[in-house]
Amino acid sequence: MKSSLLSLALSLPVLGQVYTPPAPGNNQPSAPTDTVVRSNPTPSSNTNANGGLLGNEIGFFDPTNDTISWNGSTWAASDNRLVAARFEKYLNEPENVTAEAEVYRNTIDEILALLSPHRKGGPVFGDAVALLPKAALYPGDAKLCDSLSNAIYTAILSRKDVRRTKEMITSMEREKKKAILDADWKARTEQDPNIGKTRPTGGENEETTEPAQQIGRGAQSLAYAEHVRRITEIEASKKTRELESKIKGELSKVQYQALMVQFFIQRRFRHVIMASRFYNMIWKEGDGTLYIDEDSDINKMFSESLGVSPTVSTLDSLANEAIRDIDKGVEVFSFLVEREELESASKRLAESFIVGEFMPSLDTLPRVKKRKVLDFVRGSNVLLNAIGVKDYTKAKEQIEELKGKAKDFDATKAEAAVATFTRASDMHIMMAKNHLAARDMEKAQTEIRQAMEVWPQNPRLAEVDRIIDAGGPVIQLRNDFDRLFAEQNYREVFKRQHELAYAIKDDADRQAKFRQVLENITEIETAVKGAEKMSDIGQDYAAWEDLANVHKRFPDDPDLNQVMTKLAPKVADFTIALNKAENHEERGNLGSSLSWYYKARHLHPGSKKADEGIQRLVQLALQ
Amino acid sequence: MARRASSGVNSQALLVGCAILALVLGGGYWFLSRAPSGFDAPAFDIVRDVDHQKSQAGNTNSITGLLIDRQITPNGQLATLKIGKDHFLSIIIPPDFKGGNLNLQSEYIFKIEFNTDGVAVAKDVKPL
Repeated sequence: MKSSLLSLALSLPVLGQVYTPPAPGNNQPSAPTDTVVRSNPTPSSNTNANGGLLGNEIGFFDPTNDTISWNGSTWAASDNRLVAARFEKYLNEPENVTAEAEVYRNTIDEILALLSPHRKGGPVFGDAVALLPKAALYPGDAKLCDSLSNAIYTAILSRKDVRRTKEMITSMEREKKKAILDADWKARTEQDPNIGKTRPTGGENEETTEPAQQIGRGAQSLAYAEHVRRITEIEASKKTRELESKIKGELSKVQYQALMVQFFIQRRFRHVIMASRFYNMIWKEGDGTLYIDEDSDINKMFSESLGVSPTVSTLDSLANEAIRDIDKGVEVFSFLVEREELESASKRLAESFIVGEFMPSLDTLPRVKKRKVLDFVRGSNVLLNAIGVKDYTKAKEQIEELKGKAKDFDATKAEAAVATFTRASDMHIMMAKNHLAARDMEKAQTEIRQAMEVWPQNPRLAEVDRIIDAGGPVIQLRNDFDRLFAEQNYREVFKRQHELAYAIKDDADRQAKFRQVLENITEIETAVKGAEKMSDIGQDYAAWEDLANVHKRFPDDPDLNQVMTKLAPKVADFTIALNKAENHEERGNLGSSLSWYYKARHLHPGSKKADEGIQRLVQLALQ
Repeated sequence: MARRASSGVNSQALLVGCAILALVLGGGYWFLSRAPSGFDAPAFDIVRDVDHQKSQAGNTNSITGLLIDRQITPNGQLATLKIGKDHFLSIIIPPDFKGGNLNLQSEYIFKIEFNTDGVAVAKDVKPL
């Protein structure tokens, strides 16, 4: 009973404030697969998981999930922004011990005492009603006592009208009886006036006596007929009045009951009890059945949870039970706060608050006690939000903080969620790194995206950023290398060899090209340096000849060309001799070619070119 | 008075003797110093025709110079003369050439004929 009461009470504000569960259908979005409890309800897929005392259809508060389940749907209790905000606001409010509030609470107590069936001398209806306007003056009452007194007034008027109708029906009955008596008398006593009279039958002098046609002549008279019609009319009128009276009485009852249900839904349990006691004094016949639409949610809630048709007494007992439960919850809260078991304390207080926000026990709870759990509640909300937005770094910090704050904080689920998602994200990052190392940017991007979907603020993403940042210049350098190579600007490649070497270290093709460039430039440089030394000691021809050999292979090297251009005037005769020798050789003029080769060797006795030319031509000439 | 007997050098005869001596010495020098004439072929003008040796094919010339190089191969040998300060001419010495030994750094006069490759072929040689 207690469980169902709590569940009912818990589900009432939710029904009243938040949500009408959608009809399940094929196009219904599937339940979220993450562990975040959503504010929107989802059809329960596990029919037994949250099963309450009387089955899953009953509203059930699951403290392990902070969810409220009812009628196949689940709502987040602590993750419900409205509830959470109201609860936090409540925790910050000072205890309501103003004189005004005290007067209000005393007035309600007085009304309840006056209406108590156990009061000596019996309940005092008039005095209790008289106190309602006084209670309505308090702002926290939200004029509900005014509404109640109006409903009572309407019910009383209805009751008076019923009495008047009954009096009218009684007088109509009297009139009907009189009409019946009159009609009966007329029918029995009135005779035909022609009875005993004579009239001529044979001639003018002959008279005969005619017998009476009917003894009760009145039954055929218009007066008699009028009496009968009147009797019928009175009867019809009486029935109409009776029906009207009955309907009016029921209507006022229905209106009054609707107000009671409204009080219950608003969790104004003391008002429910007052209204119930007033009800019993207004309608003393004892019919307490609640007139609720069979298809309405509220009727389903009562019938499905309790299994019986709701009555005024049901509301009264549920309200009493709720008040008791709230008071117990507050008591437990105070005890847990003293033990520094803040998680349980905050949950017990939240349960009590959700059910009995307006109860005096909660209203007068000292702020000092409430503040003790405020930090924990805020931290819990931060943790839920952090998990909600997948900020697992913050969630980790928050879990540690909450562990320190509350001895009884159960971090198992949160830690498991954080560990699962952080591990998953880290795995994706590892894969992304591997793909980056393998230069597979497409797969790396996919892994990074998946890592971010699981944990957007994963600090290890920074490592990937660094790799990509480092990869940016690498790509730039690689592009530079390709461009320089295409432009045959090998000198620039040689100059930037150290930075380019890192960029192409994993690229075999570029590596081969790079090595070739380095070898060639080194060869050129060596030749240039050697040539410069020889030139310094006056061996310009030798210098030039060495460079010429290299130049044949690298005719576009700017540095080489520059050095050779510098040497050219000094070795002009030698180069002319060689050039002429070569030209004549090409044309088959071997004699002239030999003359020039010998001249070249005369100028530079060590000339390999000249020697080779001579040897070659000797062979040709002597063939 | 007695005439003193003439005992001095006959100056006229002395002059004639000197003239004869001068002629003998001058003639000897000319004889010794004149170029060997041996060949009746025209001298090859290396300065002018160094680049036109191929066009000289079939022509016979003489050329005088210092032998600076000899390239000997199974097919024959090629001698190169330095003509003047810095001109050179290579001459094929055929295997059947009867010119005696040719010594490097010796001056020779060659009778040559240019072949179709523009290379001079020795026809005769005389040392200077």
